Amino acid sequence: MRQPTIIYGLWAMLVLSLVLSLFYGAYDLSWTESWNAMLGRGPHNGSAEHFLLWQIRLPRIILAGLTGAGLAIVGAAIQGLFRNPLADPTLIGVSSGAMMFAVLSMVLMGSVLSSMTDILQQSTVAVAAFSGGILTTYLVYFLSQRQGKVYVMTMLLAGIAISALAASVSGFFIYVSDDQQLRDITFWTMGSMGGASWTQIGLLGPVILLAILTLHPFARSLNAILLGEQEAVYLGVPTEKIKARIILIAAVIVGLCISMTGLIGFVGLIIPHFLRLLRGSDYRFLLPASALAGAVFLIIVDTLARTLIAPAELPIGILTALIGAPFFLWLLLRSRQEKMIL
Amino acid sequence: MIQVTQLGIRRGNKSIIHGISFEVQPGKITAILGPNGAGKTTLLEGLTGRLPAAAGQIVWDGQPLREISASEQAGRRAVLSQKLQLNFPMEVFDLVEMGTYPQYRQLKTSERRRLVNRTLEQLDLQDFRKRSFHQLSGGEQQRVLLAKCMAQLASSSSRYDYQYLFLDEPTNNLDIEQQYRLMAQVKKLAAAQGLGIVAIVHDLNLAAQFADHLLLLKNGTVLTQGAPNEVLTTEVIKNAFNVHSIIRRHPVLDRPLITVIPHEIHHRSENAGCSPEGRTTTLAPTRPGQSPVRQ
Repeated sequence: MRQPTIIYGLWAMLVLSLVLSLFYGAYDLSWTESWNAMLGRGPHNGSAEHFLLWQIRLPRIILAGLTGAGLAIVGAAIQGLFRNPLADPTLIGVSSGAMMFAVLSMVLMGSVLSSMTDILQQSTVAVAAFSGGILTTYLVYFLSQRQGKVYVMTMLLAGIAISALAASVSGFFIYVSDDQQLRDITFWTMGSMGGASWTQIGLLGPVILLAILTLHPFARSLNAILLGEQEAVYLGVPTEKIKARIILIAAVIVGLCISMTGLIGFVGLIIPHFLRLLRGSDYRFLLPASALAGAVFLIIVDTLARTLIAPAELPIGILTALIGAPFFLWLLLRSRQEKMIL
Repeated sequence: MIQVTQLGIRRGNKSIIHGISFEVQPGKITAILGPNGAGKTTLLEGLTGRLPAAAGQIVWDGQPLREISASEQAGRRAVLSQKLQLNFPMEVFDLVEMGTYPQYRQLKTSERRRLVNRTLEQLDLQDFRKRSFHQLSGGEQQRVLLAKCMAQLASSSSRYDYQYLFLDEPTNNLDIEQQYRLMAQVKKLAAAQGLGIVAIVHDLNLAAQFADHLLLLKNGTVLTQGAPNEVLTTEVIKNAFNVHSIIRRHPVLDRPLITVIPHEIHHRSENAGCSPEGRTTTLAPTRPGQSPVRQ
């Protein structure tokens, strides 16, 4: 398949998944009812259905799409930067740092901050998670630096060490938390699109779109870095500048996504891999295609999460791993046959 | 022309090479020879701008290398590295096209395609265009990487009078045919496009046959340099590599032909009073049927 064909196909799938997921949910509505409710026509003017579609489903779908796009494009960029097909955004420490700070804020809120309103508590967790993600990433980045050069191998190892450290701190606070906090923390680590609001989208939307546009010009350089960092330098690629920019963008996108939806794994890993199978590693194609495919994937998975056991709801992280892990194993077995290093 | 004067390069606190001076002429091949640890790779990394000079200087066509920006360096020289580890699948055409990175903004897509196709044809690779790099043999991979270097130089050739190609042990892991084929291609390119070429070569005969200028390193400095006929003598080879050798004239080419003699055989003949050295250092053509030892 040609690259533009795939991109157009993904756009079509995005529109389709948006429409389908909007009209499909726990609250059963017929197509015409949904359509009228959307437009607020006739009896639906100001009705509960109108509110449901506009204030609950649509923001949730858009949040899923933005998160999927953000996680997948960052995954693709990080894999290129580390020249490692197994790299994913969690590698730079952003997830474990976000988790540590989120857990910390949830446990503290139980005692000190318990008088705060729900919305304020949620925002506190989000801000804590975002700052934690950025801080740990900076620490990992700083540790991998020597004489103005960032060593990606050191970064990979530092990421593992710092993540382990952050996990043990999280573990300690989980240990001292009470039952309600334990429940909150557990659900947070499984991720959810519930509670999406237009405010979140107003914040996340522009940042993700801007980040996608900023990443796009790096496509050629990422292609060159696939050959090896030194090869890229010989071709005149400003590798240090690119590393710093991509890691900053990655930390911001992933930090923001996690702070609003909790931990959602596997999107950044499987989406770029799936696209590589379709049409190779050319980043001029891979970056936009990952963003689109990530959005489609998470919109569909979130629709499943809220409808499979309706009226209850599955945490989305469970489903992404349920779909992602077998796919990933299949990739491993396939690459073993082709003698590729994976 | 590249002029290197009194070059010294350090890695960390350790001085690896020191006091090296030589010139790289356009259209000529300069081969860097020497035992392991002599500083060949360090010297090449200094020439390509990867490692900074701690002493002396490197001048490219009248301009000190440290004053040339990384992107301009990329337009004026290409480097064929010893090993490329590619962790992602990639087609030959796409890989060679990456060579045009330095001039990406200046070239239209159609121009870029034409340039890559022309380069592939030059190296007899037109049938490999759509093949996956991973599925090629070692020799084919090396030719594809050479094509990438040539695409890099060709994409900027109109902007610079002189361009250089650096090769780090280009014939490593290649079979005999591939070794000679690659070196012949390199020599043709050097002559046709006036490229100044510097290559690290391990095989003395390969260097003797293809290089115009030899630079023999030992312990981080130049032991001797010059044309192959001047540099490759039994004394110099003994001094540099600690092996005994016999040097004759190549039966077809006007180049020296080096035969290394194993230590134990050399000792045996020495004890018998007929050292192979001394009698054969001159490049007298051997007469048929005569062993050089008994000459």
